[in-house]
Amino acid sequence: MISLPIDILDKLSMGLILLNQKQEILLWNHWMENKTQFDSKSVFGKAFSEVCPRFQETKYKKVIETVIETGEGRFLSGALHGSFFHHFSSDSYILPTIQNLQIEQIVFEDHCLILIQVNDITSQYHTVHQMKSFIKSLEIENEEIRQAELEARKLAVHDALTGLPNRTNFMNHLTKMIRIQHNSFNGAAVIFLDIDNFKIVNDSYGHSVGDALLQIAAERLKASIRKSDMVARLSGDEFALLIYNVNSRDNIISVANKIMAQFSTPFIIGKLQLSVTCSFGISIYPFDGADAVTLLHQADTALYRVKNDKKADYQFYCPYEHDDDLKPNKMVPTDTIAIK
Amino acid sequence: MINDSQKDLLKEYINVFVGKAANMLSEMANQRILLRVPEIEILNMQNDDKFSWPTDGLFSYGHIISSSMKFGRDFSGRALLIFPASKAKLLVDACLGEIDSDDLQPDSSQLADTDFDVLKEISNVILNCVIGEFGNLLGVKLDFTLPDVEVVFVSEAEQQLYLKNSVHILMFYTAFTLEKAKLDGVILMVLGMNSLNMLLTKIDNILGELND
Repeated sequence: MISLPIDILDKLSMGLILLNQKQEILLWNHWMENKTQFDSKSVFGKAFSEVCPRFQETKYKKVIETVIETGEGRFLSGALHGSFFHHFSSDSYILPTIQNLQIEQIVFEDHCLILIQVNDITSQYHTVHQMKSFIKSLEIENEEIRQAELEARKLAVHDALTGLPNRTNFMNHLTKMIRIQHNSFNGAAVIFLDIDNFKIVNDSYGHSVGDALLQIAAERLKASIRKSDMVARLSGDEFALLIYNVNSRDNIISVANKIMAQFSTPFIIGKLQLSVTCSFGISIYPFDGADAVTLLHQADTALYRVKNDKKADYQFYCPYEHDDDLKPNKMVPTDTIAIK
Repeated sequence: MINDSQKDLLKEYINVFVGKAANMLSEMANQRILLRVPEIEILNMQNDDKFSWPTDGLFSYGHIISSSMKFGRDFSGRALLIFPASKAKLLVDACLGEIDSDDLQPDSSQLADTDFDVLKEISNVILNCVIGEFGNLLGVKLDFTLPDVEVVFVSEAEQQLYLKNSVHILMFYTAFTLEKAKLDGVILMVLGMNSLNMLLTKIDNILGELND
């Protein structure tokens, strides 16, 4: 073993401090002189807490005392504790610096000493902070873009007035249902519904009342189906419903009756109390069509048969009763609505 | 290797040790920390070729943060604090007072150098406390090193290699629950046969005194 000259400690690019058990400074290397305003002669024999006042705080006092008592080593991270020593520039300005400290007990010639290693992490700390701020700003920007995309996607497939899925969304779900249920025994029903004499409401009370009526109608339609089913606004006063897992006509009649029941109570809009009815046609997958367009068309055909008949009712699509005279463009709504 | 009475008493002691460590962590994180009663196991790596971690989910393969510290003299070994890397950032942010309740699933890749320094200090405090308490229980003086912190990717096959050279492992796993985040962690003490015997002998002595 060769004995190393003490000068070697001054060549280190880190701070070294040696304390005795009374916590008096025995060694203050050249790096420490450069990074603080103290030279080694002026601090020799002084209490460490006098030179580094943060060690007058109870929790740091306790750290050194514990190292002396137990022999355990302690690491104090600059990121957590900030600055222990201030760096003075040539013109005596205090420059904020951050250090990691490593405090350990060493035994030298039967003396128990405390070795403090000091690492300056100031530039690293600032780089990390800048990086963290940059990452944070990227995250915020990313979140804003994500929210905007979500909103745009929602607007693209939802009706802005009622919040219901729109026609595109409904047709996608219907197509997906057909693809999934192909080869299975599960049936489904498509309901094409419109509100009777909606145009008269709009003309009589204005569009704001008409819009409010559509919003309430949307809520009532949602209330008449299961969460797994779907209701969409196709356009104007036209709605479509998709009822999954239909095993019998009775299932659909049950839903139809619920819809009718929802429309049996008046719609309260401001001071108005409107008794409004609806009509709808029903087609059943797979019997009335094997694709989304056909199923919706057949439900629409059934609806117009209702509208031509007495309204406020529903019908199932029946291929044998198709009548060209009942095409939509030949229908003229003439009934008035009951207003209480 | 360890009977139920030894296990119960050891569990009681470890509960106290880990509780003290949790208090120190609580001071650092500046928030209340709830602690689950630790589960303890003594694992023998040699006799169990089909070794599997008893902590399902926590120790499934993936990135983990591992801090390890050697301790020595009469009672010697290596202590490790291990938790999933995905949770490390939460702990660091809690200690730095930067925790953001809107961002509870941070990515471990966001750990910066200074975050590792904070993890090093956290591990240092927790492991010092636990090792120190074992020293007090056994009435022996211990030498400590400072912990090395690393992110380790542990594949299923590597779970054994990670601790290959160890014969016996006293493992206690617990869950620290910070006010804003749940953090599962494992403390492992890798002990040689002599140290493990020393610990169990002490436990037996205490049990004997209790029975007298």
